[in-house]
Amino acid sequence: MYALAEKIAAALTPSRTYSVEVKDVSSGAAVELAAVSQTLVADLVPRGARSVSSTAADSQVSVTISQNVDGFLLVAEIRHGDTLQVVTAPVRGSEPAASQPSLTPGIQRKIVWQQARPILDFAVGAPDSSHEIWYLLEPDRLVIYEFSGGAQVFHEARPISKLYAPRDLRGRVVLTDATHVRAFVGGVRCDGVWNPSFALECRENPDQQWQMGSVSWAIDPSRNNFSGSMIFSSSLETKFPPFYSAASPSSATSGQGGSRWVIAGLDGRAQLFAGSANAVATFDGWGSDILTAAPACGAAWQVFVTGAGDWTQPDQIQLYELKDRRATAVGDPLEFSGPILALWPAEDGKSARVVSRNLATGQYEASTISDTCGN
Amino acid sequence: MKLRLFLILAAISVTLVHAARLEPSRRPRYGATLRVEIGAVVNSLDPAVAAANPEEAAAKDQIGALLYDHRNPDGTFAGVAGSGPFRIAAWDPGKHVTLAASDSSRGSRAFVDSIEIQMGRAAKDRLLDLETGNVDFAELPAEQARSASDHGVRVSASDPDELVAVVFVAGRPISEDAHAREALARSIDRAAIVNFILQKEGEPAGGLLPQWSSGIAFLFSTAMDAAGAKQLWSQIAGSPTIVLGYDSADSLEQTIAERIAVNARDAGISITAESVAGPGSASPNFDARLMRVRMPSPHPREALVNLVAMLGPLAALDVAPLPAGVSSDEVFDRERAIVNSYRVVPLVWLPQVYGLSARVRDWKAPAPGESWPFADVWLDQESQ
Repeated sequence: MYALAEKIAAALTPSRTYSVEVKDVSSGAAVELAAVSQTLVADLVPRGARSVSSTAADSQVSVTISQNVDGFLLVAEIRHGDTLQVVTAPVRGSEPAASQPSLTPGIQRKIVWQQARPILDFAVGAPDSSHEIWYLLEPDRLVIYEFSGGAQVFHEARPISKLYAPRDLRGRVVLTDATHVRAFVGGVRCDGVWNPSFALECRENPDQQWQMGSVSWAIDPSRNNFSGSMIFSSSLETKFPPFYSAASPSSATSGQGGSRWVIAGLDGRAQLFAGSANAVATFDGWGSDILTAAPACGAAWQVFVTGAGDWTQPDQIQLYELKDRRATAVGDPLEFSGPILALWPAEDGKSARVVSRNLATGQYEASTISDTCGN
Repeated sequence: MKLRLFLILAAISVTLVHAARLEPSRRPRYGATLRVEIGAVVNSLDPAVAAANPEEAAAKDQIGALLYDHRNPDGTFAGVAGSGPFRIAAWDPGKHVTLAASDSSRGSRAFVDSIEIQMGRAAKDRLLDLETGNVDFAELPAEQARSASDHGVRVSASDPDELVAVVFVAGRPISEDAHAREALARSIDRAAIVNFILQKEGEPAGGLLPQWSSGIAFLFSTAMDAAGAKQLWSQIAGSPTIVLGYDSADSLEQTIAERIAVNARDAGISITAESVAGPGSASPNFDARLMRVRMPSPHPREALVNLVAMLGPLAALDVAPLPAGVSSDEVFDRERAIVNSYRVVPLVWLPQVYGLSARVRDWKAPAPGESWPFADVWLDQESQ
């Protein structure tokens, strides 16, 4: 508004009185036009211009809140007698503030980071109670931020040379302990260590295995899916059809551990396997990313499931309870204003990490979600 | 008639099936062949060989963008064919080309395995093939968008990025009369062109840039002023007649030209609409002609510079260069100067309209200057 007031003041010279009206032709959220008008009048006072009624004014100023390809635009038409002058001022976009945690029954979301560059995955480590280290995995680099007492004290980006670059590139960050981090992306595995400065070493990922807790999944590095091969800590290998994601109940919730798996297959169907090669149930309407949720109450096996559609559409996460080969939706879905690009378990064992793209702002958003037991 | 009825019923049935069977999947799938139909006939994919007409040039550019990794600063393709996401697998000049996904593409492999492009397909045939599910992608004339949608075709439209305008030919006696130019501009009912001819697929244009791009198009009036036009025309000496030319191969231009003639005559203006062949000659036998210009960029300055380059020679626009980095105020001043000269009379903004099959996913209509995003779309094979 300051820039526009400056231009208007210059255009008003030598007339000193003006009337002002404000209108909005943008597609943005409704704006309090009276407040805009008051701000403009206040900005013009120090410049010697005086707002009066339209009948007594030397000049008429009509301000329009508009929008162009670059964002919002303020347009002022200044009429003085038969002359018309038009001045414009772009409105500088401000970073959208992180939303407050929602209290959607079933799932709670907290946006913890947002940026214009694509994010594949993220993780937050806490070496001690006053420090936090953020790892943001982007397509070509691992970005590290260190915060102490809420203030940023370190920022570095380490390049990653990938061996593969599929169009739907996926990545994953695993914190192995307070000083070690591992990233999987584009056919390479990168190991990072603090000793005392941060060092990152990347090399071809042997057998293309991605670490998933006590299990590892083999990814097809030239595609966006896992091959179907899972290797357990006992070196036992199990074969499933190729999948985008898979979930198994924790031993704490089911007592049956890894014998049951539900996989989100490439054919758009989710299938439940219970210790045999044949699926015992198929679930329709599920998206590509699924993840076991740590239930806030009860001990049933629950999974977060992304929505159907494609990446031009909003997305959602629905919590399902799997019992007796049936999946029952629990609570309302958590809506996202764009596609969910990654859904991985968080390090705390209770929540999940979500990377999504806000279609309205174009920003990539990192969020944590958790099962809230409906409170 | 029976065959047509059957095809329509089949299309409705196919569409309903597609709508009901949008399979749940979020992550792109690899595989399958994208079936494309275009109206243009491309006789050579060699960038060094000139296209015979603007339609061929545009289609050739779109195909080239799939074959080449990047462009030179002047917009020509750099490197070799096949360095982009696709390579040529089969080529029947003027009829058909098959592109195969390139595994060695620097921009990573496309999701579809291949693209089959049929050339020279008339608009009505493209529409019919969309209705019957025989094609995944086809360009549609903007004026057919509503009809296509009514027939169950999945329609995607870009932001309006193609200006249709009347351009007065510099040096013609009537064109050099400012009153005559303004009279014609005021006589035109732009809203009627959009509502009836374009079936509401487009926007009346008062300025040279669309509102979504410049943010200031609302400052230019699009209202018809028949009384003002009549008064201006009455001030012209003699009994001149404006000859308005339109492209003989463009049915939309013809319809718009005839509509303009009706409006003009209602305002007392003497005018005839005549077809002309090709982009124009050095000594045209018309006073003004309809022209269509697509924006090469969504940014106002670049779009205006291109517009002046395209229309300036015919209209002899006296416009100072618009250097990079100028303010939006300067862009507006330049735009207003051209509009107020009435040498270019903006009429309507057209979107680019595409018909898609239900199985095409992650489709995003290309913005000005962008090419068909065939490397980024994927096909839901369950929805076939």
